[in-house]
Amino acid sequence: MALLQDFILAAVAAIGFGMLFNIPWRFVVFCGLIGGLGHGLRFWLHVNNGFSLELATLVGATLIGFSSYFLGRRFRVPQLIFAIAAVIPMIPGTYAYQTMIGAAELVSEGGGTPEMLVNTSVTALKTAFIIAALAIGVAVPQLVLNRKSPIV
Amino acid sequence: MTPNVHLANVVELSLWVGQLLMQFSAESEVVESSVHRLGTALGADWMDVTLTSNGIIVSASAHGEFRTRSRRVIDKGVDMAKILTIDSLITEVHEKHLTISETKHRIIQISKQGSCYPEWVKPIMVGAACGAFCRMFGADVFTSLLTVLATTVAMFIRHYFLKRHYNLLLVVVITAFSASVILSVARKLPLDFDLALAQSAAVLCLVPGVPLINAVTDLIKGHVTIGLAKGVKATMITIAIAVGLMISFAFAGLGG
Repeated sequence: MALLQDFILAAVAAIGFGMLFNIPWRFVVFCGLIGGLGHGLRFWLHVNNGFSLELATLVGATLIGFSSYFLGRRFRVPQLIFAIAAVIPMIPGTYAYQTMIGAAELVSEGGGTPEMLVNTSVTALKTAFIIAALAIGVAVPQLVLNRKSPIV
Repeated sequence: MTPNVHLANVVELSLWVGQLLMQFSAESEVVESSVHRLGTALGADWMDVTLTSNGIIVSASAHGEFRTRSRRVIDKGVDMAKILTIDSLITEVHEKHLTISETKHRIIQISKQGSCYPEWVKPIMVGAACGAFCRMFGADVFTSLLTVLATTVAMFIRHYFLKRHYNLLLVVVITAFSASVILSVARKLPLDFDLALAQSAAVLCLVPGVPLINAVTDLIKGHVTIGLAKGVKATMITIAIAVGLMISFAFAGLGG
């Protein structure tokens, strides 16, 4: 039940941002579908199976990478049309700006404690690792299936 | 047409296409291969493409002649529909052997192509997306609905300022501030909802997801300087979000 809700919410988020990115309607529906599937997989791995958020993100993003790769083949369009909007629900936005707020609080009055420094560094690293996991996951099919000698 | 005049046209068109792709936030790999595909389809033997963080340089060579040109690139935000039409245009040039003038005509059409959706739909859809984030963080339905409302208003404000060419970072500060202030005011009305969750979900509409992903993708595929530039830009926007939030927290603290 929680999984189904996660799938639907992630699909809504992917479609919303897909429309902001001006993806035509006939493709944006697929963004929602694979975005929901990827986020649902991450949720299932992280919450139900105790995977770390970073590793779960990598697996979820790889699912999105492969689905968008084959959808791109099927419709003869660039893969990134599907992949970009689909990974948006997994972007660690909250971590990202919490890092910045944490950095500002470090220099505020009563701040500068070792715990704050540790907390801020941990959120910063989490942000970086999750984003790296997303980009690597999406790039995997191209790196594995579509190897070619550089043309430019 | 003499070879050199022909080459000048090839360079002009492929440079133009590369510029459009970069403007609409395509990843560097896509830009390079598209420029190369178009140039060779139009009759060059070889294309060399150099991308910088805010410019593109293209060299075309054929029959021992060569031409090089560069162009500045301004960021115009993500527009997948244009990337899509440019890609299908290149495929068409390859398969149907369009002439230089036909191709030029099509590129002019693409650069004038409007949006797939009416302008007022986008803020509402992004609002719905942030409402979904809020529910995902475990908020109740009422909190999520307020987030939808605040985000939608904030996105309209963002659109208003961007259209008037305010600095992007300033616009992000203003948008994050207004989303957060709307929610703080609603909390004091008093409506009963989870303010912290709503605020953290509402500003997610501003997180530069595409530049962040593109930054790492470029780094993975060997475009290190562009990847770093995109990453720094995305970080600046994230800082701007935090600044907007912190200003609003300071204001919310006034008068208890």
